[in-house]
Amino acid sequence: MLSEILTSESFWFWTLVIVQSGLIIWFVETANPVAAGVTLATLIVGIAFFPTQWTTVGLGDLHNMSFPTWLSHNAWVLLAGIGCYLFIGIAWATFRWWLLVRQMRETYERNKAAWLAPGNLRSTATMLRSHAEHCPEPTLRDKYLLWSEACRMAAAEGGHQLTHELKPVWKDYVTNGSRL
Amino acid sequence: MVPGYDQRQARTGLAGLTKPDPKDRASQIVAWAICWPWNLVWTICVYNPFRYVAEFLLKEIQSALFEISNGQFSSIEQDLTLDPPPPPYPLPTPQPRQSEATTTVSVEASNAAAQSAPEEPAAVENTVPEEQSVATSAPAPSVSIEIATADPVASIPQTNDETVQADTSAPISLPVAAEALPNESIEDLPEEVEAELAEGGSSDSYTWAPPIPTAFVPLSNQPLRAVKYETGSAVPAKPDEATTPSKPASDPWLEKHIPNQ
Repeated sequence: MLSEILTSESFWFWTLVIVQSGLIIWFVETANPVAAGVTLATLIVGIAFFPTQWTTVGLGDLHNMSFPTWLSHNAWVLLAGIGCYLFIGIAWATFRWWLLVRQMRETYERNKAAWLAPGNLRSTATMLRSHAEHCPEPTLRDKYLLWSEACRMAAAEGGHQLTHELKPVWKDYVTNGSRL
Repeated sequence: MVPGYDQRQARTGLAGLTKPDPKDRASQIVAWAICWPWNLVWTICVYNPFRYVAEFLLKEIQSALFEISNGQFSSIEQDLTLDPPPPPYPLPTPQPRQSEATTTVSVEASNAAAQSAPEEPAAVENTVPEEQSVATSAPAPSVSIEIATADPVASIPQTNDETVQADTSAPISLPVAAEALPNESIEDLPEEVEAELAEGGSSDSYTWAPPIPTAFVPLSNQPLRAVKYETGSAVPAKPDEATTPSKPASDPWLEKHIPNQ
């Protein structure tokens, strides 16, 4: 049973397709278009080694004619298919870009709402005051005291509002990614 | 940057957040375009884009419906919006103290101008109410009033010199009484002006007084009555006896009986 599976052409064909697809997804997610393109090319070339599966992928005419003859007969169809593929790819890339930017914005809004919660503002004010007490540099100490007072006042007013005084604290938080 | 912060401990995903630039992510975009079938499957399985698409469509539809409501109800909202209260009356600005801003009035009376036209002394007008009278009158004595404050920029020189008026054609905003100026010095100013100068104010200071409220003047002797109009009826209801006004005894107009024609 196992030997039949391992010796069947279909098994290795679909194994090739799955492994190559995994590699393509990996290379696309890691922003490596060259490796993804090479993997895609090897997948197309690898189909040539599985003649029994040509009908499965729509290339059954290759059994009756040579590849150059098939290419000459289906040149325009092939070019149109490549053009449609790239056109759909550009549209998909645009939509994927919109999706990426929207995800980043959603992450930002979620973190901002959590940071502007009154409890977080109070803890931030306490932490900043602690930083100020242990800071030897007078300028930095004054800045931390100012920020601490701004966070305390914003928490007393109910939070959930990025006031003018809170903006420098929030900017420092976003720039450094630290949890004040 | 907060001391003791380790960037490796950033847990929010906001570290170094900047606006995404397509140029910086060109390789990513090309990979998406080349291998879109695989990326499509992966995105649907992992990122669930349908949620974002649904939210986006929902917001667009909501904003479109809201715009329709605004367009239809704009005039109704204008009817139901109360007018803002009138601005408060202008309050008099406090005058600077004598020690802070020295107020000097320098009066330069040029007798030469008056002597240049001794044959027409009657043509010299005593007051200069308007610019036109200055321009058309005989050569008037050169009068220069300068109000100098602590700020040199704030000094306002004014003159009614004829030559200057002809050059600049600047209107004279403050009429100057010329009759008392040529032969009088600063000690001969009127008493009220001297009193104002002693108090620290200027002679042209604006004294504000609240407006007198307008008294209600009735247009007739009949008392006002409220008439309630029924919806859909064109003729107002007859007033009751209790609401019928009593005739004043001394009103000659009401005593006249004019029959209906």
